Amino acid sequence: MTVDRTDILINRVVDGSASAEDWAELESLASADPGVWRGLGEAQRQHAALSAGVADALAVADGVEAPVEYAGGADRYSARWRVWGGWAAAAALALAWGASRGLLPSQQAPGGQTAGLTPAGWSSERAFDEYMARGLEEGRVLAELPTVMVDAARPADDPDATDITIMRRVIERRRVRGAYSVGVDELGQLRLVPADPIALDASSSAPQGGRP
Amino acid sequence: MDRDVTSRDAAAAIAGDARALERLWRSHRRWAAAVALAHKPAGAELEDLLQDIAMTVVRKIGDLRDPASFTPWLRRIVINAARTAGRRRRTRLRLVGAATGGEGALDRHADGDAGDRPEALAEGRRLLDLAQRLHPDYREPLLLRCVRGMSHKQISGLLDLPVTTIETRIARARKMLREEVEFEAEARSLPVTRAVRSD
Repeated sequence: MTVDRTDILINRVVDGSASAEDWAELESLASADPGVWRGLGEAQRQHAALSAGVADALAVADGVEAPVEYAGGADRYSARWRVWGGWAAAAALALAWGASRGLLPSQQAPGGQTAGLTPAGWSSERAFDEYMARGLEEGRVLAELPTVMVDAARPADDPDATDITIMRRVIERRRVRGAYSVGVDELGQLRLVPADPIALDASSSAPQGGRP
Repeated sequence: MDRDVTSRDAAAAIAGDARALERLWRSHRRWAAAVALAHKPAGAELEDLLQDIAMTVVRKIGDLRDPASFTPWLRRIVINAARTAGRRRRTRLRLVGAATGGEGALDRHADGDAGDRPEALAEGRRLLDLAQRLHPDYREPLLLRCVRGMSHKQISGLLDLPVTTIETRIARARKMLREEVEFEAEARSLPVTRAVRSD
């Protein structure tokens, strides 16, 4: 595809960059071919419409902010995860400690089968429904979030179907005794220190506020 | 998109100034979105792509050595993100009614809201769809020219091409777009079997 001189001149007019010489040349071309004016009108209309379409599509950009709380590069980003890793480790330790002290309900039935969990023969769906129902009764499960995040989707063998990978989100309430966070002593060694529940709550709602 | 302001903010952002980084992103995100729009695969969502790009900018800004090269650096990030999105084909979908155990209906988020909009936008959206058929070498400057305030000179700087090349590519892109419009109109007026492209 080639563009001729008329196309170039029309585009300059559309873009507002046409000089007086460009206009004179365009008028000269149009005097021989009135279709030039029609082409100019069409080009202006098309540019205005496309600009509106692009502006509409790009409006989403105004809602995307740079997550500057991560500013400082990969090191700081990693540090954030180290903080969370510390809390996760502390939570795991607290749960393990609670279990060792007999503070958490045992899940082992006398017969060796897991009590209150999946009896043999249940489908995973039924087991999950049972978990939700029991959890709600016990106050351990508060809700399942109404929307499910779909992480990936691809065509299935069945042409009418789609295979999806989803994430269901359940809100649970747990009671732990003796929550610890991971701190560092003056020698740079990791130490467990009792966690302040208020600080723990603050770190949940504002992750960067977690204690290192 | 003042070059001096960009370089100054980029230098401050590299040094760790979060506010400068915020300003930098806000003043560049529109054209970055236009570049993403020009290069992204059809299935990728622009908003997700921009989130990824913003995160990459924040994480990598410390690696940028020359503040004056922020603009081409950002463009490379955008294009890489678009290509990665093409490989992953990651889509964000929503299941409606899943929590109630009802039949899940897939609701794919479109780049734009499909709700009621002024009719004037319909033509623009149709043209934007048709523009996706153009080669990226033409589509990118064409869409950038539609971003308010982007001049031929700025596009030339961004794409590292002479202004005359940008001018020619935009003119050619518009001509190809006009032909796509005409082809579409012809295709609608003819039986499907006769609507065959000649080139």
